[in-house]
Amino acid sequence: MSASAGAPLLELIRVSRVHGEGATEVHALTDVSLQVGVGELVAVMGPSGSGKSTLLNLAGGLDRPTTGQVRIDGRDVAGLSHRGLAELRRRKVGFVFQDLNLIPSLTAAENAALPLELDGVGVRQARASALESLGSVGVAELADRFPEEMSGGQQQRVAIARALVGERRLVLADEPTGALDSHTGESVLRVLRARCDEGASGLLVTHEARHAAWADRVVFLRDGVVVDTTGAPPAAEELLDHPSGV
Amino acid sequence: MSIRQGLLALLAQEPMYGARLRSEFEDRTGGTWPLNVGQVYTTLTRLERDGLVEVSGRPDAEGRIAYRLTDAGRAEVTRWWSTPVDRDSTPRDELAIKLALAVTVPGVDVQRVVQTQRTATLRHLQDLTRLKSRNDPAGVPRHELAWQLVLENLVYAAEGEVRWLDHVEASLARAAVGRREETRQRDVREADRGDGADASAEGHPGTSEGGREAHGIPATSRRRRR
Amino acid sequence: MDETDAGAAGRRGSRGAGAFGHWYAGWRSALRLARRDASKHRGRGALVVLLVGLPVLLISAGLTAFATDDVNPVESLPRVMGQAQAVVSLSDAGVAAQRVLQGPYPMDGGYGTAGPAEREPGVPKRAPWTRERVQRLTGGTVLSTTTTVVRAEVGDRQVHAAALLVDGRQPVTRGMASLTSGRWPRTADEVVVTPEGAAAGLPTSGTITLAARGRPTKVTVVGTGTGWATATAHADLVALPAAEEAWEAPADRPQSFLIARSQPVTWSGVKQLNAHGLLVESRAVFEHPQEAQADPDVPPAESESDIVVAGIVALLVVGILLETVLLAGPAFAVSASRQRRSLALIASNGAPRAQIRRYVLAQAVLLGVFAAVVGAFLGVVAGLLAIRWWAASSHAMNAPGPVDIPVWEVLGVGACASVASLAAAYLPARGASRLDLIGVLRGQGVTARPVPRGLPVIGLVLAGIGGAVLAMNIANDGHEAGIAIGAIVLVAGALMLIPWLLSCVGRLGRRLPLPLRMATRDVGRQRGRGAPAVAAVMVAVTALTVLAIANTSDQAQARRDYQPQAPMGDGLVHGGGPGWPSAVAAVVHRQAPALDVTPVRRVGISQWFDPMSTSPDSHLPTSTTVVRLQKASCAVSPPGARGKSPVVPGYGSVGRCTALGSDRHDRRASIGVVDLRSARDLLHLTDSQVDVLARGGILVAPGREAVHDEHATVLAGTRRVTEYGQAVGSLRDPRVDRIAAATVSTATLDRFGLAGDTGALVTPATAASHHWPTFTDALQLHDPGGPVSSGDEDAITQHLPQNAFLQVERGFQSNLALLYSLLFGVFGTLVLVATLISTALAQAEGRADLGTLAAVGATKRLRRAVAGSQAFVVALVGSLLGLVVGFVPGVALAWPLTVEHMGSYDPATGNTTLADAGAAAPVIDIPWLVLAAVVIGVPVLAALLAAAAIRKSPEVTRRAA
Repeated sequence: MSASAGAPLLELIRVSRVHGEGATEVHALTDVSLQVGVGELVAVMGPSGSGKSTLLNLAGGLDRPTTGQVRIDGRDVAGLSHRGLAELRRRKVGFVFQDLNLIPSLTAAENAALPLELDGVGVRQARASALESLGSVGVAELADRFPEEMSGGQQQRVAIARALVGERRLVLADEPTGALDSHTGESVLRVLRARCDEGASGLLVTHEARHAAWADRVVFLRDGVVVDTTGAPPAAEELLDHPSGV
Repeated sequence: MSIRQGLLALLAQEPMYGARLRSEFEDRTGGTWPLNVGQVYTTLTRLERDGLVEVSGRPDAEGRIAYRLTDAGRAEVTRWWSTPVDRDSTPRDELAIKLALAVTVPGVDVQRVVQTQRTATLRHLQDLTRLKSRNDPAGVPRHELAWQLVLENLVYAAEGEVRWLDHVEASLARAAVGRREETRQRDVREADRGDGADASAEGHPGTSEGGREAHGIPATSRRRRR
Repeated sequence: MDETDAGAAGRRGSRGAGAFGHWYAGWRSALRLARRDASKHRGRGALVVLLVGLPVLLISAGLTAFATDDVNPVESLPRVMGQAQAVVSLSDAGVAAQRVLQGPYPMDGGYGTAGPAEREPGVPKRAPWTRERVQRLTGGTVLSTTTTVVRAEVGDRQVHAAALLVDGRQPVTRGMASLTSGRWPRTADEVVVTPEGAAAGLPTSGTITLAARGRPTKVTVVGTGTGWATATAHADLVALPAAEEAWEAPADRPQSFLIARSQPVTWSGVKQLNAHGLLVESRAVFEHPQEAQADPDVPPAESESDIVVAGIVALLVVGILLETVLLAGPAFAVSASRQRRSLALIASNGAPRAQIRRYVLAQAVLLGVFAAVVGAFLGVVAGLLAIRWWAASSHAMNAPGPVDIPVWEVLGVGACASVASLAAAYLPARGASRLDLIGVLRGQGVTARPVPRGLPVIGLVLAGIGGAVLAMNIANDGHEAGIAIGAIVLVAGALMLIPWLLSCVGRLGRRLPLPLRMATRDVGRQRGRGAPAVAAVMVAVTALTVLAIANTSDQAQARRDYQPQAPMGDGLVHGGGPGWPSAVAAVVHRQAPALDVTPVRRVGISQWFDPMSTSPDSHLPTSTTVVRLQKASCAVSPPGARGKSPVVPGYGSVGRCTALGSDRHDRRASIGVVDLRSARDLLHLTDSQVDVLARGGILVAPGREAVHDEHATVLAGTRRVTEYGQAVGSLRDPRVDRIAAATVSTATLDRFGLAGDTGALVTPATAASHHWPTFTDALQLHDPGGPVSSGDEDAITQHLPQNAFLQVERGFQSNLALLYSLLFGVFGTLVLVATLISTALAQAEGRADLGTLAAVGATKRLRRAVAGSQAFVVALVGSLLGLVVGFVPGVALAWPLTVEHMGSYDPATGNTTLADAGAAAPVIDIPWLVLAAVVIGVPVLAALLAAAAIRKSPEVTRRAA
């Protein structure tokens, strides 16, 4: 569960993002550095307006930083054109949003296979990969159902499956449990955790501490600046001495 | 309930005598923790014994003795502010006291206090979650389930704490905005009156406007205290 | 949307004055909200207004233009008779020897004759009709009037001027003629010039030199004014009736008399005058034709063609309105779907289903009524302007009538359009009122409802019935009404099949590439949006298919039956009046010297007569020799028997005995004149045939039954000639001759100038020996280097004298290219519009999906591909369906159009006798290529347009936290 050796999958190096200019300047992020290694799940917490979503957008190549570097799997995002960014989103990075993740007129399997098909992979092979991914999140039996025939939690699982289909390893989740009740939300987080344990990486934006706790590290953002991080955790054995706090 | 740190924090502001310490403490915690003078003096004695406070000067006309912080005491106050409340050994009330005082004592970076605590609580939550993840709550034998529920209790308590900390932070932000507005309007009124000299006379030595804002202390109430 | 407002309205209504109050309050609230919604979504509102209003505008413009252009009888009264009670004309080419059978409008509807006319007591037979004679019959004041055509010299040009001859000083002529400046003519050499005459070049003061048949005359212009030569044509000059004789100008029509009296001429009065051989146009009868129309002697006024035209117009209007419904439907569907959440909230606040329906319908009412009103108003204005522009342009030959707005028809169209708009919104309204409230309020998407089981079955049944009715009508050569009904039922059935078809299309998406898969699934699930568009495309392509098949078949048949008028590439110039051949030959020699000019001569006198001819010999003969070829079956007693003239059965008027005649109108009954050498060289006659000609014989076309035993009987006599060049009266001084004869093939005769248009051939020597008159009927122009070029054709045409015209035979001229481009243009545009509207709406609705696609890494190319696929699928499904559905009515229409009943046509008598034995097979020519181009080409075009319209890459539109 700790960050493994080797290059991190996602790196933000002293990234700043400024919107507008002059009097109406808004500093969404200021000098933020962040790393997500292989098998790591990192949570980002902060009040609204703190820049969480901006951070996520930058991490996924949906936005470009004003200063600083964003590296995904070692490649600097800044040098990529629109097409290159789109390719990045197809092959490396998957998004999971709070809602409206799935295309209503495609089945679950087709939704999961979407990035592969967009990339030109053949229909049959894409479907196979999609089924595998759906199985790994536990909704293989929903493969041929349409989104409207699934519950919210199932939809989010399919979204996670899509985010990690094929060769994709990095999932960026923006409040994925926002529209779900506590148990469903927890199960979604469990899935995310499980996939990260199996080798994926995740950056999770949330405002719920219970859910952020599933991460290996929690990063706190306020006013566009990282104010703290929970860092490396202690060994689990310490807790067992005091199972009940006061 | 330990009030050691609370008294130290008050003394960090200025030397006080016992009765005054008590009234200040009660004032600032909204009377939620009523103290009796004897408790205060007992704690002061202990603190003196530990070398954190010392008598400050001679007794005054009414025979009241003022205490002040030693260097060690000042260091202890600083340490208290900058470290999270340890959940194992101290009751939770300490957190509430701490924050109440943080908000009213000048020179304290309240947001730092909040964040430090929050980080610690999250770490704790992470640990609890890791324990939880070993089992799926559904389909486990009864006593396992009971243990799970106890775990969840801790989880929810910790989350509750974090949410309260969020709330504190938000309230501070809102109050700061309100005060900024107030200051701005006051400046506008003073500018209308067009008296440059008055403005400097309003200023209080030793503190800046910005500092006042950071502490979240109403400027008017501070003036009253003088 | 303000749900408290709406809910309150509903509640208030229910406590109010019972059912009506409830209904009224509900509608009021709905209309108010519709108004706000319309001002918020201007784009969609403008689209609906355009879709509903444009057809209304076009139809209103057409109706108004037609009504204004049309000069109905009442409108024509002042032009035809001024202030008089009636206008009386002489029937039977001015002879008025027969009783007249006429309807209320004899000049339009024609008239018949029945028996000899009555004569007033004491009047001799063949007494000319004068003013006094008419006045004795009718009473009141009688004025004579007529029209004529004269040539005026203007500078170095000669201008033809139509002159109205009437005494303008009489107040009764007001309306026919009016004065603008100067005074009315007092003598025959004074004239009034009209604006039209001035535009043609006549001076408005001074003198004009006129030339009619006689010597040039000088007349003085004494004023300017207006005059009507007919109900729809202006005159260039106005002069006194006496001018006719003074100028020696031939009357353009028989003499007419204006009857000015206080008593109107009733229908019985008209009939009395009819008995004397007079045609009467009576003011009273024009204004109230009922009595005349009820008269059993009167032939029915409305011809069958009028009914057919009315039927076609009605079908057209229905078709246009149907298209309106289908095109506007998606817009309403989208609007209802966008407001889903608000409507669900209103419903959860207690509004009944009817109220929810009203909210959607109210938009249709508001927009539809607005569009209909604006469209009708603008359409009327446009129609009037169009007519004014048309009349002012040089193409217009007729002056239109006064401004005539068909108010009832326009209102009817507007009402239909409003109803159509309501119909377009009805299904979306019903769908909105049946929302799954919980699902919608929770924010879940719309589930795809399954197609109601019965619908496709009903559709199939209806389509089958419609097709069967059509087939039956073809087989029995039935009514247009039956065909129309069958077609409508077929189309209605096909429309009902559409939802089921779309859901099938949606299911087959599995194997398709991604963009197509998304498009087919989308169209299969969002049927509320897709079905109307597909239906609109289907209707358009059906109409296109029907018209394409029918017209192509019709053209193919015309091509098959085409009879060339001359040898390919050669030109024929027809003219009139003696001396015209040399004039034309001179023109040809000047303009195209390379062309050979060969006269085509026939026995008889020219049917053409040029009133403007300046030749001194320009009077027509008063009588002429007429040559007839008798049928062999009619026996002729030898001359001299019993000392009397031979009895020739059936002479006089043409009877069953005449095979050919030089006085027949049809050229196929004429006798051509060709010299021996040309006969031998150009016609490729055999030696025996040449021999027959050389011996003074005649070569006859097959099938005339005139040749018997290598001889034929020729009957010659004289008949009187009217001043219009018609031979009338009985055959006098008959002479019978037997001459050698032989039958010759039509192919041979085809080479004689006018293909198939000659009955027989003789040599000039033969004609001279029998003293038969011959004339030049036409001049044949031949270019030895190939066909007559269009350059030569234009050059010659420009310089030909007035009454001569040139026609170059270039084979069957097909206007299919024009037709196809018209069809393509109109229906292709319709299909494109329907498809693109549907695609635009789909794109607007799918914006959330765009964000998802962007997040997954889709590029602008994918977005383009999706848009193009959506357009392609809608257009393709609709086109294929339209092709299949339009096939049967198309063939059904082509059948009666091209079936030809063979019969025999006797050119001598002009009668056709229908043969019982089999009709010629109908020509069914299906333009596969054109249809394929439409069915495949238009969807591809729509896809390209839709794809090209995408400007931006998909963007992730998420709120920034």
